[in-house]
Amino acid sequence: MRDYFHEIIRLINNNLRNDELFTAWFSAEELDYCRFNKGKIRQAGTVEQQYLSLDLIAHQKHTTTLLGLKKNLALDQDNIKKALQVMREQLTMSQIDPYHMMNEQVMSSENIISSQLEDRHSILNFILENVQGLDFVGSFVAGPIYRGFANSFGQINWFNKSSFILDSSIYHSQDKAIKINYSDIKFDRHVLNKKIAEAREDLAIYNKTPKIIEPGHYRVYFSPSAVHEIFSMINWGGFSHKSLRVKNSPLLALYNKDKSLSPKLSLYENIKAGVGPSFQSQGFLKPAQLNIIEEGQLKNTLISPKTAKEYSNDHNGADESENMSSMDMADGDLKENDILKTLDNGLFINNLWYLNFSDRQNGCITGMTRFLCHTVKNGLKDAPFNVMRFDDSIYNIFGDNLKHITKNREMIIDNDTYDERSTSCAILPGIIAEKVRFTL
Amino acid sequence: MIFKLNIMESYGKKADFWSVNILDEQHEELEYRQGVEEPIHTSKDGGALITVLKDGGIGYASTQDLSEQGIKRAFDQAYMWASMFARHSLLRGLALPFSAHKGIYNPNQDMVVSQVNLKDKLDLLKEACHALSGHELIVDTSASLWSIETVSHYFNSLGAQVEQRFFHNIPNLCATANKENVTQQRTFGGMRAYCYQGGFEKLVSLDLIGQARIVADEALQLVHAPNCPSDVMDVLIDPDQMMLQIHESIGHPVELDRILGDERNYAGTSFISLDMFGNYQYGSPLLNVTFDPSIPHQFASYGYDDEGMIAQKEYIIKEGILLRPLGGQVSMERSGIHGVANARVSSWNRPPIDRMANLNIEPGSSSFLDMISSIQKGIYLKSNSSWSIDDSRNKFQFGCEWGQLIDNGRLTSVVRNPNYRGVSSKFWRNLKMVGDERTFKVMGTPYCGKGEPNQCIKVGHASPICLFSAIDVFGGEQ
Repeated sequence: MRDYFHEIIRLINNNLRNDELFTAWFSAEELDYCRFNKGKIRQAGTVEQQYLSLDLIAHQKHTTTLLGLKKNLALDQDNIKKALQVMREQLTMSQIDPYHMMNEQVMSSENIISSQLEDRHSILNFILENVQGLDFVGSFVAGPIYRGFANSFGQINWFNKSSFILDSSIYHSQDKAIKINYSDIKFDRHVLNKKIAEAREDLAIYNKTPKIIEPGHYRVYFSPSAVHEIFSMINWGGFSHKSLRVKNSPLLALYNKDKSLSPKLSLYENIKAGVGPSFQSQGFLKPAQLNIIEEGQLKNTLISPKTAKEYSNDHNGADESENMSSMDMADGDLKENDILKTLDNGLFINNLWYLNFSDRQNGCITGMTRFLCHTVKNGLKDAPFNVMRFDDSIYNIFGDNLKHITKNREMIIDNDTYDERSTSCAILPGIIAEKVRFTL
Repeated sequence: MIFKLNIMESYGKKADFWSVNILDEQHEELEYRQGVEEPIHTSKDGGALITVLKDGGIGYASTQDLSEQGIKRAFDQAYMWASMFARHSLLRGLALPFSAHKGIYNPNQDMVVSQVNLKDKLDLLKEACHALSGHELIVDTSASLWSIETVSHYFNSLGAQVEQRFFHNIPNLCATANKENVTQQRTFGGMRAYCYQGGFEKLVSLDLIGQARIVADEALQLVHAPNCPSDVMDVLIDPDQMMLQIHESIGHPVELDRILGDERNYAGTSFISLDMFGNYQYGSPLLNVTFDPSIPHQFASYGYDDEGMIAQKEYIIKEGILLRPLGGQVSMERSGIHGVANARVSSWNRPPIDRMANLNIEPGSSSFLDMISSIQKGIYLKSNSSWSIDDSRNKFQFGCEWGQLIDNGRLTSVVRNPNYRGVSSKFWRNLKMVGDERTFKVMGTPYCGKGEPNQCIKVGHASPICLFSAIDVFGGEQ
């Protein structure tokens, strides 16, 4: 695929005029997918896709196009030529973009994580044999992901890795289920067997009658997965410099120092520990690590080159979305074995679902509990409870009400496959917070 | 896009059944933000999804390479999935009833938006963006137009040949106002609700410049408005919020694949079970919900679904009683229940699953004034800004951009951050009045997510203004 990408760049270079520049983003994947329901296969298939995002620049104007590629150089050349022609016509009618920034310092790079995936058939057969008798549902996706960047100045960046994600659950009845997530670059049968065995044991809790939680305030343990859901919500514009400048970020009060978060909370954009490329779509390299929140204070925001130009700042290699892609939260000192004892009496929340802002400007988030959530009584696992809605401010949950952070952290690989597989991840601990508000 | 059907006719013989979905799609995205033209963005994509049935197994393969070699390679991949895992297939033993319909669907007779002079479109957006701004409290503005042209073909080994052409347009306006520590965003209907199918004439009829002035004015009103009070009251919901209410608490729970459990790990399950169809009292007798792919200009109107089934209007809920689910041919065969033609793909690289398409509430008989004057204490809500619901699609909480209190039969003060919450299975039974044709609006959204691998698809929702009694309403944090 790398050679094909280089050929595509050669085609672009060969078809440019002297007064034209380009940047190109290449995104491809070979995806095997399998959906399960009731321990059987509902849908399975393969996708092969290659896309080129081309930015044509001339006389301070630019225009972009996304082309589906055919992996046939003759056809691709024809399509690229036609696209360039259309873009040249568009440039004649376009205005100068005052916020456009090109990376003119050549910073080529290559990061290839060689495939250690075994044959997909043997993996799937292994999964299906080991979930026999269980109401197993979810999906398995696997295969290589490719990202590339090139520009007129000769910069070329390349990223390639092969990995798999098993995102699944085992149902007991109705909406009561145990989650099994497993993602890596190498499939280890022992790891999955252990996860399935643990899930089988955990299913026993559903033999108890679920409790109905009354609205009110509760002491809560949020697992790393639940913390990930909350931070994913905050990440929707929260750390974006542009969102802060147009006063629309849920962290505006933190930015303005009107409110603060707990000094226990530190958060980094940790590209070096992530699973995605270290370059962004305009070819700027991302810093290996960027301190976002330090001991409860906002230290840095994510600033794309475009935002930097608009608001006269320095950019820090952020993508245009200005979202974190390798979130890393500092650990605490709460040991895994002490979580129930420390929670004492409260709610143990393994998963959250369908979060949204209930009051964006004040950082208020609502969402539902999902999958294995149970009450804890006198430091012991008590009984599952029916789904419950929380609605609280991040300034409460991660502010004065944040009591403990776990020592253990989990690497959570983003399982998003809209359009293409995500290359984002997060390394997060669990937390204990008190007085968390539940409403319905 | 040229596809050599004869390749499949000869090469596909070893399959028990095959089908091919071919999609060719072109996008154009134009935007003015803060008075500055954003770079023009276009895209061109196409590919084929090949489906193979063999020995009770089903397999898929998607490719952008439509050469003979590419098609054969994709067929082999789909065949491999179907045959190798047939013994594990959930569909094993089912006689899948795919059809052999032939037809063309191409209802748009208006001027195609991509054919309109680029400068004219940019000038329109520039003027709309200008109309959004002009006040010191307006801190961000955007006027945009996203146009999509799609040609789809469906062929199968039974002889089906379907060609469909779609012209989707998604205009949007947004103004953000800020005063001290209060920020409010107002858009053109929220959720890009004024998306439609058709041509430039329809876009002109929307009067983007006039609407931009209203959006800006309402953003300024909101930033000066008090927080929404918390109380139990009547709620009068505009079509641009009804569409979200229909989508989340009727559309998703009645999707047959969710009821059959396919989505339990991702999008969720449903509080509806198969035994409820034909007898379950979903809402008050005023509630009439239809799957209607035939409404001109509605965002998800089509002639056939992506498994070649002819699409036609069906009642999902009639006089409050749940009649049939949203389920395509495969789900119907699995459940033994009649559904609708809604097996759809988001693109050539995803397999068909049960989707909403157009799901509408039929107009009632109440005028807007009748509804307002019937309310002692209530709130009029417009334009979705927040949505959250449990994985069984029961407990929900939705927020709106715009709220206006109603006291003793009169609209009174504007309030900011209005939210309401409830439980689907109870909420629809509190439907007290349904607006007449004059309150009915045809809307939709390009963003409905579901499926593993994930699929984001276009859906349509039309509704009159509706009145619900005794709803829990509240505002933001003070």
